[in-house]
Amino acid sequence: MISAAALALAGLSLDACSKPPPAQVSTTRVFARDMEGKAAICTISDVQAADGKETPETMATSGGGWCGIPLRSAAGPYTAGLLTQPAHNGRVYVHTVGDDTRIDYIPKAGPVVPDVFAVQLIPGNAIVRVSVTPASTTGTKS
Amino acid sequence: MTNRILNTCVASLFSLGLFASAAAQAQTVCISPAEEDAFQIGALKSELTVLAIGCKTEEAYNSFVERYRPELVAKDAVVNAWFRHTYGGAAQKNYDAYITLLANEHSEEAQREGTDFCPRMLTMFKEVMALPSATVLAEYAETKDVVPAAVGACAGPAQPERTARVTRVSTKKK
Repeated sequence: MISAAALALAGLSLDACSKPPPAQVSTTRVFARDMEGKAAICTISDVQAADGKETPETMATSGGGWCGIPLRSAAGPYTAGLLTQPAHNGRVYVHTVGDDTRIDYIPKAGPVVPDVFAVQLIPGNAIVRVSVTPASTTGTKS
Repeated sequence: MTNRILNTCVASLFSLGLFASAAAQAQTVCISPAEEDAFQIGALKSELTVLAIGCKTEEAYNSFVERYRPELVAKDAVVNAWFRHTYGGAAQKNYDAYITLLANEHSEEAQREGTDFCPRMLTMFKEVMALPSATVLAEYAETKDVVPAAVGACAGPAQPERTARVTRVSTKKK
């Protein structure tokens, strides 16, 4: 057996044999229940939560299901979320989906109306403040 | 959780069939933020009870109860008080019906998910035990969507952070 050290000494780079990094995929199980019922239109701003800071996030959704914001810390999904500002026109559900923590917003039945809510993620105490707006029917699907 | 305002409102009469007979007329009553916290924590406890029984994780459940016992007892007293002042002599009957409703809702969810339910939901024990203190238990519960759809926020202006929140619960008229 040739050890990595021996290869290195021989001037062979192990990197040369390595494959390109795979696309970011979940290494943990994703349950069907967490993927069902997504809103037809769900557009979110592409931001990352930062420990100890508040990050504004925008969400445009058509309603009729959940619209989710996937987030992950350096160590993977956050352990838990706290609803520090409740939504008024919908429900918020924070759960682990694969390697992400997903913050779902489920508008009340009927037309989506503007809403705002905030979730604090632990550990790290990153706060995500989400402004929800009704999506234009010509909007982009996420 | 500062400056919460007791905010009670009565919405239109309707029947959800939650309690007692199907013919019973129910009334939507908004509860105070403090009461909502109590309802949220009660619903969380119910969800975790279903998990403990269905997934045979009594040890994790016992750890949860042991850690949060003072908060659980205090919030249960708030819920009981709400049923007493709302239903008077019929409080116990309606309280029992509400607890049954919670358990049934959570059990039905478990049945819908089938074999995925336990592996998907058991992370809740890890989550709840990772909370920094009991004071955020309600804020955690609110992210788990544990209160049945029949219990929801009343219409009104946008809510400031952790203040002036109102929630409705379906009740039967006294």
